[in-house]
Amino acid sequence: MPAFGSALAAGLLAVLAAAAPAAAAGPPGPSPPWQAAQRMQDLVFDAQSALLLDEPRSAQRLVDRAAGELRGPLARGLASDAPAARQSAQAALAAAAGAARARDEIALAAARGRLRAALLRGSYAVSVAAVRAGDAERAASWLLLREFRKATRFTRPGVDATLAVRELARGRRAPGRALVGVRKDLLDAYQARLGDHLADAADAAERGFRASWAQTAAVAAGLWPILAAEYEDSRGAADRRAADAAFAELERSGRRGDLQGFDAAQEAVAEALDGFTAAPFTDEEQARRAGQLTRFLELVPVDYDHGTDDGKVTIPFEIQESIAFTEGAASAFSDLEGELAQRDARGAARVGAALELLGTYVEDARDGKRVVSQDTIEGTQDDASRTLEELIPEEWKQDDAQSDFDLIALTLDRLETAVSAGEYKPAEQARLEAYAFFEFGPELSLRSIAPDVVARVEGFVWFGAEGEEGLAKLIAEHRPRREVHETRLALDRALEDGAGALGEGATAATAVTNAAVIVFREGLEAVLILAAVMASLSGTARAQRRPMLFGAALALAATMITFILARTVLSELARYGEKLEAVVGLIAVGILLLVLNWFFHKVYWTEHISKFHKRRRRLLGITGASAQVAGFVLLGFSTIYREGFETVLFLQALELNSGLAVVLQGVALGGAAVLAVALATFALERKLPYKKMLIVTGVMLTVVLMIMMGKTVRTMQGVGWVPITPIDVEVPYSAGIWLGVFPTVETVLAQLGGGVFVIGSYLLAERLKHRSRRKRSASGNAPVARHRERREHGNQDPTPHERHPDVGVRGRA
Amino acid sequence: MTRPALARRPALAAAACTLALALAACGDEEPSSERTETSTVAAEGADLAAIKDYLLEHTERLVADTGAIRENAEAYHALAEAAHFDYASLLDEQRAEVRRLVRAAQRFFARANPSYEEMEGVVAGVPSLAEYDVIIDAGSDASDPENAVPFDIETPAGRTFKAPGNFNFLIETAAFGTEPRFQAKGAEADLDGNGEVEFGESLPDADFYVAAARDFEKYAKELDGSAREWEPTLSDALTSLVVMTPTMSEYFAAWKNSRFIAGDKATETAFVAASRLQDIADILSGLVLVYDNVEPLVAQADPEQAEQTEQSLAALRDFATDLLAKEEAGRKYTAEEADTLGSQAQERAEAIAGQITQAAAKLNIEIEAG
Repeated sequence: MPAFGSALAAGLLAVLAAAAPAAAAGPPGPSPPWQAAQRMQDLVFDAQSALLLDEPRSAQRLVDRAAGELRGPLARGLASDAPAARQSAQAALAAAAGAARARDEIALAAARGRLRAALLRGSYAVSVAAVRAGDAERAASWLLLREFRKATRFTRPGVDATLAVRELARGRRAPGRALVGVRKDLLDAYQARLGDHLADAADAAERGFRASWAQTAAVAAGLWPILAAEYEDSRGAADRRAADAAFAELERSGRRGDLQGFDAAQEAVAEALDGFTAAPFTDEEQARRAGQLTRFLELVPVDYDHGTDDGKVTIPFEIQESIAFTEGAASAFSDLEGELAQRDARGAARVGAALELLGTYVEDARDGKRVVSQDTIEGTQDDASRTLEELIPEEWKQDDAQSDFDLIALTLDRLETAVSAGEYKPAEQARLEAYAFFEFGPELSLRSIAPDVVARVEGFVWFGAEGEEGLAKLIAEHRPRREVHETRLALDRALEDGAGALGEGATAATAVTNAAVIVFREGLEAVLILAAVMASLSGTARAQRRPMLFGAALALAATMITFILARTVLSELARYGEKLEAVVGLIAVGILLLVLNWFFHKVYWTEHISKFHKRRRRLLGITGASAQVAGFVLLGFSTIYREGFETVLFLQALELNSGLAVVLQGVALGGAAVLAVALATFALERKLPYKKMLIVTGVMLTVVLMIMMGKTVRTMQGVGWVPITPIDVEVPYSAGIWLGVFPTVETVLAQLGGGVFVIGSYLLAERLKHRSRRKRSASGNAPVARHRERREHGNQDPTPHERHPDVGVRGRA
Repeated sequence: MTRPALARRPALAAAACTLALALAACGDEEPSSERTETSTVAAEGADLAAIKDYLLEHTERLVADTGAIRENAEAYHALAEAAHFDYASLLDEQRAEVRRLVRAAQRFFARANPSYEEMEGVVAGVPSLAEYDVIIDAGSDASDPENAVPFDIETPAGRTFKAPGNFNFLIETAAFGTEPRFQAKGAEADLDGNGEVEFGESLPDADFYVAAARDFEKYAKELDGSAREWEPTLSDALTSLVVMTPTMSEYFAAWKNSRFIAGDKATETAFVAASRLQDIADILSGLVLVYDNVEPLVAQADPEQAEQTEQSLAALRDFATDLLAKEEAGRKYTAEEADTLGSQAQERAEAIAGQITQAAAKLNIEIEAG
C-alpha cells in the first residue's frame, strides 16, 4: 500500500501525543472556537496515525473524542450562523468514524481535509455575520480560526480583517465598512490558500502519496464554497455550477486515486478560476494595478534593449530587469483580467497572449536559448499596450503616482538583489532608474505637497539622511547588503510617507507657499545671471543686452508654451526630463564660463576694448557679429529656460493636485520675490561705482556659476553620464538644492573648476593689464596711467562719464 | 525720477540680496529631523534584552567554534603543504594524522552547526543581521544568482571560488566529502586504509578548505560585532518570528532529500553531520524564546491570541523535538512520511506567522518586508 507505513503511525502517535498534550487532556471549561477546532483536528490526525498502527479501536475512540469537541461556543456559533458548515463538519466526523471502523486510511485523510475546510467555512460565515451585526468581540474571537496568505520574503499575511474589527470595536468604523475589510482580507487569503492546496494535491498525486492527495483535494474542494458566491456574481450561475462540479470531481477523484479523473478535474478548476479574483478590488486598487500593468509593460523593451546587442545578451542584469517587469505586468494583468475580459474578451485574450509571449522571449534570452530582435519585443509590447489603451477604462488611468511607487519598489528590489550578488554596477543602474522614476514621477507633486519627504527620499537615494548613509554612497563604496538594506528600509518609510502625502493632498495655503518657493528658487539663479551680465554690458557692449533680453523673452515664452503643452506632453517630457535638464544646464554653464572670461577681461582691460573684442572673438571661437548676437540670445534663453522647464514640471504637478488658481497665486508670490531681488540687484548695480559694481556682479556670477556647475554635474550623475565618488562629509540637503553643493568628488571638482576658471581668467586679465601699463609707461603715458590707477582704486570719485568708460573707449576704438 | 528705497541704499540692497540667498538656503525643504515612527507602543512587558543575550551567547559560541575549525584547517593545510599537496603520498605517509584532522573537522562542524542554528531565527529575521544568514547558512552558490552568497573564496594558492555557497555548506561538504568540488584531486579518501571509501571518509582540498575556514571565522566575528551593535526592537522580534516560522516546509524538504531519509540516494549533499530535524528543533527553540519574551506585550493587545500563539509555537517545537528524538533512537522515516509531517508542520507554522502578523498590527508594530 502506497500510503503510510505502520512504522510511521507509531512515530506520529508518539509525536502528536507529546506535541499536543492539551489536546489529549482538554481544558475544564468551555473552549473558545479556535481551541476546540484545533483540538478536533489534532485528534483526527491522531486517529489517522492510530489506524496506520493497525489500532482501529484507538482510532475510533480518537474520532469520537474529536466529535465531542463539537460543542460549546464552537457548536453554538456554527449552529446559529453557519448551519451548513456545522452539518459538513458533522458529516466529516461521521465519515472519519466510518473510515476508522473500516480501517480506510485514505478515507480518513479525506475526512480530515473535509473537516478542516468545514471549520474554516464556518468560521468565515460566523465572523462575517458578527461584523455585520456590529459584534466586534465575537468577530475577533472567531477570526482566530482562519487561514492566512503564506508569508514570503516580500509579502506578509494580510491584517485588514483584524484592523477592521478593531476599528469596529472602537466605534471608529461602521459595520458595513468593517465588513468590506474583513471580507476582502479573508477572501484574498482563502483564494491564495486554495491555490496552495490545489498545488499540494497535484504534487501528492504526481508522487502517488494517496493520503496526502485525498486530504489536500478535500481541503481545496471544501474551501471553494467560501469563494463561490463571489464567483457567481462575477461569472454567472451557469459557470458557478460548472465550477462546483469540477471541485466535487476533484475531491472524488483525489479520494479514489483516479489520476485521469483528477487531471481532468484539475484542468477544469484551473480554467474556471482563470482570471477570477474573489477579494473585491477597490477602485483605487484597480487603478493601481492598471498603472502597474501599463508602466511595467512599457519598460520590458527598454531593459531588453539595454541588455542585448546584435542578437546577444550583453548585460544579463538588464534581462533580469525585463523579466521582473514582465512578471510584474503579468501579475497585474491577472488581477484585472476578469474585469477586462467582461469588457472585451478578445482584447483581454490578446493582451494575455502578448504577455505570455514576452515572458517566453525574455526567459529564453536569460536561459541562453535565443535572443529575439528588439523589433520583435517592441512589436509584442506595442501590440499589448495599444490593446490595453483601448481596454482600460478612463477611471483606471488616474493613478500614475501609485504605480510609480510600485515601480520604484520593484527597481529597489533589483538593486538589493544585485548588491547581494556583489554586482555593484547593475546595482547603481537600478538606483539611478529608481531615482528617475521618483524624480519625474511622484517628486513633481511631492515638491509642492510634502517637500520634506522629497528631501528624505533624495537623501536616502543619494548621500544620506537622518543618520543613514545614502544608496549612492553605499553602492560606490561596495558596502554589504545589510547596510544597503538598512537604508532601503528607511527609504521605504519615506516613500510610504510620500504615497500617504499624495493621497491626502495639500492645503491651498501649503500649495501656494510651496509653489512660490519653487518659482523663487528657480527664478533666483536666472535673475542673478541676467542682472549681473546685463549690468556689465554697458557702453559699446550695451547693444548686447538686446539679444540677451530677446533670448530671455524667448525662454519665457517657451516656458509658457511648455506649461500649456505640459498637460498632454508632460509624461513624454518627463521621460527625458533629466537628460534635457543636463543638456540645457551644460549649455548654460558653457556660455556662462565664456561670458565670465570675457567679463574679467572687460573689467581690467577696458581701454583696449578693440583688442578685447578680437581676443573675445578668438576665445569664443566666433568670428562674426551675428554669431556673437546668437551667443547672447542663447545665453538669455538657456539661463531662463533651464529653470523654466523644471518649474513647469513642478507647477504642472501642483496644478493637477491643487488647481490652476492656486498655482497662479504661488507663481505671483514667487515672481514678486524674484522681481524684488532683481530690482535690488539692478539698484545696487546702478548705485555702485562702475568698477565695484562689476566686482560685485562678477562675484555674484561666479557664485551662480559654481552653483550651476554643482547642479549640472549632479544632474549628469543622475543620468549616469558622470561617475559618483562620494566624499565622507555630511552636507545638508538644502545646501544641495540651493547652492549645488553635494558630497561627491565630481560635483566639488566641477565647482572648484568653475572657481579656478574665474580666478584664472582674473589673473590673466591682471597680467594683460600690467603688460599694457608697461607698454603705456614705455610710450610716455605714465602720468595718465597713474591718474587712471588712482581713480580705479577709488582715490578720486569718477565722473559720470568715467563711470562708463566704454563710452570714452568707444570714441577711441 | 524717484528710485526705490533699496536703490537709494546700495549697501542695503546688497544686504537684501545676501539675505535673499541666505533665506533661500533656509527654505522649507530642509529635511525633517523627525522620522515617521511606525511603532508607537513602548516595549513594556517585552524582554528584548533577553533576546540579545541569547543571541550574543550564540555568536560567541560560533566565534569559538569557527576558530577551532580554522585552527584545525590550518594544521591540515600545513600537513598538505609539507607534502607539496601530493595527497597520495600524504596519505601514504601521514594517513593516521590526516584521519585525525578530518574527523576533528567533522566534529568541529557538528559543534558549530547548532551554535548557529539555535540563533538562526533571530539572525535571519532581523533585517540588519539577515545578510549573515545568507552568508553562513542560507545563501546559494553562483548558479542561483538571485540567492547567491555575496562573497568569493580566495585560496592561498590564488584560486578564486566565485560565490561558492554558504559556509555551513562549504565546511560540511568539504569535511564530509559529499561535494567533489571541494575534495583533493589525485587520491582516494580511504582514510582507514581498508581499500574502500565509505561515507564520512573525506580528503578535503586543503587549499580551499583553509581559505573557507578562515573566512568562516572572519564572518562569525563580524556577526558577533554586528550583534553587539544591534539594538533589539519589537519590530525585530516579531519580524523574526514571521520570517522564520513559515519556512518549515523547506526544512522538511531538505530533511526528506538528505541522507537521513534517502540514504545513499540523497540528492542533498549537505545536512550529513546532523539531521535537518536537529536544525528545525534548534531554530524553533530560538523562536520560542523570542516569543516568550514578547508574549506579555502581545497579551496586552489580545490575551486570547497571545495564548493561541504560545500554545501553537510550543506545540510546533515539541513536534519537531519529538520527531528528532525518535530519529535519534533509530526510527527511520520514509519520504512520504517526511512529506506528510512537513505538511503538518508547515500548516501550523503558517498559522503562527499569520497570528503574529495580526498581533503586530494590533500593537502597531511594523513587520519588516524582505
